[in-house]
Amino acid sequence: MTSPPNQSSGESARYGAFVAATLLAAAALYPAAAEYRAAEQNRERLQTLDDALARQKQRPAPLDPGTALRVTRLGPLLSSWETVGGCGAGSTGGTGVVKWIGRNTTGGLFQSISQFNYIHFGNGYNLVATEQVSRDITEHWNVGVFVPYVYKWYDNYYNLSPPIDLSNSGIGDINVLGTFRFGSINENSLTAAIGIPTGTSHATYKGDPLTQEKQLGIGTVTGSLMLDHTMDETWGLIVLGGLAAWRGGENKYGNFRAPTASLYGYGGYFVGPFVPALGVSFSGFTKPDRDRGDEQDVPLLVMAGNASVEWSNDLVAVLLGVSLPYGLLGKKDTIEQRPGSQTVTGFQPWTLAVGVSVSPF
Amino acid sequence: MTTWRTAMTWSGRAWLPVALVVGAFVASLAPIADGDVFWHLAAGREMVTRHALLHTDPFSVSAAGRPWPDVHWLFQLAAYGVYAASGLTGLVLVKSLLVATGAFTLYAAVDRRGRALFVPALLVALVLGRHLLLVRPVIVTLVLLALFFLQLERYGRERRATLLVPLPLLSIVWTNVQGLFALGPALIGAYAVGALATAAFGDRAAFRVAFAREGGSREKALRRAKELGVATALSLVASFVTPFGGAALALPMRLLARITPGHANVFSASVAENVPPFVLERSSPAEIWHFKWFLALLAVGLLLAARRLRLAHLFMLGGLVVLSLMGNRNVALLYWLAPAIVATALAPGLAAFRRSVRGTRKGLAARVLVPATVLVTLAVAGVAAAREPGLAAPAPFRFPEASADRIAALRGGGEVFSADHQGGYLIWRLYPRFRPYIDTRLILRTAAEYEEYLRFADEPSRFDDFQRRHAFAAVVLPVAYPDRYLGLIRHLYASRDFELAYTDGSEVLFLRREGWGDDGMNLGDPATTRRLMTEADARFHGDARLIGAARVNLATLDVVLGEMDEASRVLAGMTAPDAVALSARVRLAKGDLDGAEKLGTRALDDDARDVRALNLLATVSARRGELRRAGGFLRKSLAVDPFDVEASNLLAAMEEHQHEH
Repeated sequence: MTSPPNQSSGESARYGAFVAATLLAAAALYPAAAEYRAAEQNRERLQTLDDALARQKQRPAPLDPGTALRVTRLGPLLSSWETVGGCGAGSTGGTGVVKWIGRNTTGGLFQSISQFNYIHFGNGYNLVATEQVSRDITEHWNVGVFVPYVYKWYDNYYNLSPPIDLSNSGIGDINVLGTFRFGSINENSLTAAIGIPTGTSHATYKGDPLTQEKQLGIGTVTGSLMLDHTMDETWGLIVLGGLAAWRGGENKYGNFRAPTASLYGYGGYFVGPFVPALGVSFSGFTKPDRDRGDEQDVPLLVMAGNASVEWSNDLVAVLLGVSLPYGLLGKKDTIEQRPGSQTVTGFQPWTLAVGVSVSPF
Repeated sequence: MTTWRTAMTWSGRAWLPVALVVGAFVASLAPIADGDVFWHLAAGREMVTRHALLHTDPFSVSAAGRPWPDVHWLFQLAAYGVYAASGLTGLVLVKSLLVATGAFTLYAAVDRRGRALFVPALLVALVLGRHLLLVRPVIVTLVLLALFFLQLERYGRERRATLLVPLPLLSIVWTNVQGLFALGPALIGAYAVGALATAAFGDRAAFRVAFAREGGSREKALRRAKELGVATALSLVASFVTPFGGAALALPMRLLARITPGHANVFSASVAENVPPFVLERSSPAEIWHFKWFLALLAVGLLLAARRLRLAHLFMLGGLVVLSLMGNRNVALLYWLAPAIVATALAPGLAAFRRSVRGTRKGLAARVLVPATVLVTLAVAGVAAAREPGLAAPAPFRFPEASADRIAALRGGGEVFSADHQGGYLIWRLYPRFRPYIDTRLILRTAAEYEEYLRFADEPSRFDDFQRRHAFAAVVLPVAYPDRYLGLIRHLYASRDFELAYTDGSEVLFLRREGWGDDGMNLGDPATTRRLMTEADARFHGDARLIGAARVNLATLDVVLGEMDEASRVLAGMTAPDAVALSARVRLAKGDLDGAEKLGTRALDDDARDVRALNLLATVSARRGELRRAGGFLRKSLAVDPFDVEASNLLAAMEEHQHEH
């Protein structure tokens, strides 16, 4: 599971190409999926019409719907004069830390939010790619699934010379989501998430378990409840809300992730297709996290400033955002630190996020 | 013996580039079917006449005097020069030569071990996208893309900075040829970012498992990044070498905004070449059915090339795919470069594969597969070119040639209302005496203006006040390709202000009644029908496809104008499916439901999935009040094509009818 760079087998895997190929394959499948969706909708409409006609006792009045005169059907090898081409008229709920505030995309067969987060530490970084797929099942209910892929990198993990860098990567905890929207215009939403412990919680390097924050999961079921209230103004949006999360408690290795609660507020302003947004959040933890029984030096109250800009059209929304947390309170405010690592109070690891949301078909 | 072996080796290697050059040339051989080239030619002619560049629009009514960043001026002068020397035939041949030259340039850029894959892949792509290879500045862009790719790939292999020197100079040419000049610096920038990322992160495991690392040390990668960065910057600076200043530089962004998909963006939703390919496929599948398959094959190619795929190539492919998904006009760019990129990345793997199967059955199959694919593609390209009419005249049905002759014969001058895609042709033929209201230089027009123009076609009654304000001397409209103007044609035929002065069934010319003594054409007169059919036979010299298309156009016009008997006369004896389908509709329009049903049923017997016949039978049933039966036909029709416009409209009409009753 762990892989110092000099041991990683980079020659056999190039996920850049795999990601690109997956995106291309998805694009290639789009017409078939859109056709399937349209066929389903047509079937429903025709069935509704047929049911209504069957219930009708008297013979329906004749209908003259007009006739199309476009009868030409062209083969695959077109001549120059057969094309209509050329110029002229032819016929979230957010994932990760950075929250989607703007218009986003809705209304399709399902909604897909892909987000890439870069979290910067003094002594390393995490790359977290997440995919959230959700679907409205009624006007009020939405269900979905959230799959994170996590890559964690730490410089000079043991503070030795020569240095040994370390990475840990894989699928994190997969979450199942359910959202209930309520209010006169569905301006409130309550989202419950259950985290399935799919991320490894006992990765080791040469037999030595990594500390708990370097694991991909805690190995126990997690859960959260999030309440959002959206004020939809002519000039933009305001989102107020709160989150309570059970981060897994203590596992069999003595690792512990403390419960947390957050309050947040965001404001977004409409500038054409863009929605720049600013927000602030406060998160509190009931007690410090523990690694194999030892308390870790982590902040217990964190304030985070968030800035993002979202661009959207009918088909796609794109988000670019940054989150800068600041530790306000910790059990110890000065600790023995390795060079480059974070302090309990003061600025915490920042996050840069890029997201793409589509609601196809 | 040695000479014989050398000759065999040479021929063994040489046939590939020869086949590529010949195939690319033949694939792009087609008469001019796009109206843009004519305003380009008119601009070239005007610049030669004035001995000056054009900074404002002299040609159209709706944009007269507006600033015009004519970034194509160099192309226009060159195109006009070719035309003056050799006519439309010369223009098409030069275009085909440029395509062949660009294809050979790409061939030179591709790693020689990947060329056996590249040649058939590019040939297939060119044949599929041949309708996108128009006589337009984009052809020069294709050649420049190939040259940039060649120099950048050579620089990657040979590491000589002098190879980058031509790129800023080529950027100067590009900037003065087409708005896509921004692709030049973007291409170099992709390589620069790739080198920079390799220098910065190349040692990190996260990078090495994501992308192929270019050879050499971190220091060498950094030096490459610097050299490529300088080339990018110089190419950007070169983009400023334009007589049109900031307006020219802003053009790429303005064009990008215009092809950004969205229902609210009229330029994306209504301009044929800007429509996203997957949307276009719903209404015109024949034009772009292959795009999804190309993407799927590209995905397979990337998976196979995963170990060798460089970040720069990934950036380029990503950018081209996004541009293609935004507007179908950009599909040509993707089809052009993607085969070269994938073949380059696959080259080492292909060489290893060749070694591993040498002397085996698989090896024999591979040796046969490449020439077989190339030969079949060449044959298809040849058939496509042979099916085209001559190159000396524009493609039939696309341009109002006869109408322009008649307007040119009028005294004085004035304004002409026409379809936007025919505006350029009218400029070329009639400027300066007559000027069209609009043409396809849509960058000179606002979205509101273009929407207003489209409303005249979609809501013809709005045209009355508008035409009185402008006092158009003539109105020129097409019957087909596209058929959006049929409503306006019907409206003008009934108008007291205009007279039908000319039609051949495919183009329609209305002249203002006042000041024009003739009574106009009477399409209800059988003699007129016979004369038009005879003229079409003579014009197309026995080419059954073209004569058939001309007759279907004429019959369509007759139906639109209410001349049903003449429509039946035109279609009598025609057995082509399109003609039979139209005959059935003529009967329906005449109220002969039984006759229409008989023809529709016969068509269904031939092809149970004939959507036209299913829609027709649904309409017959609806008019008889048999709505459940109509729904049954619609169910079958929409199962075959869920996006069929006629079936969707029928369904909506039935739903509304049911709701009202």
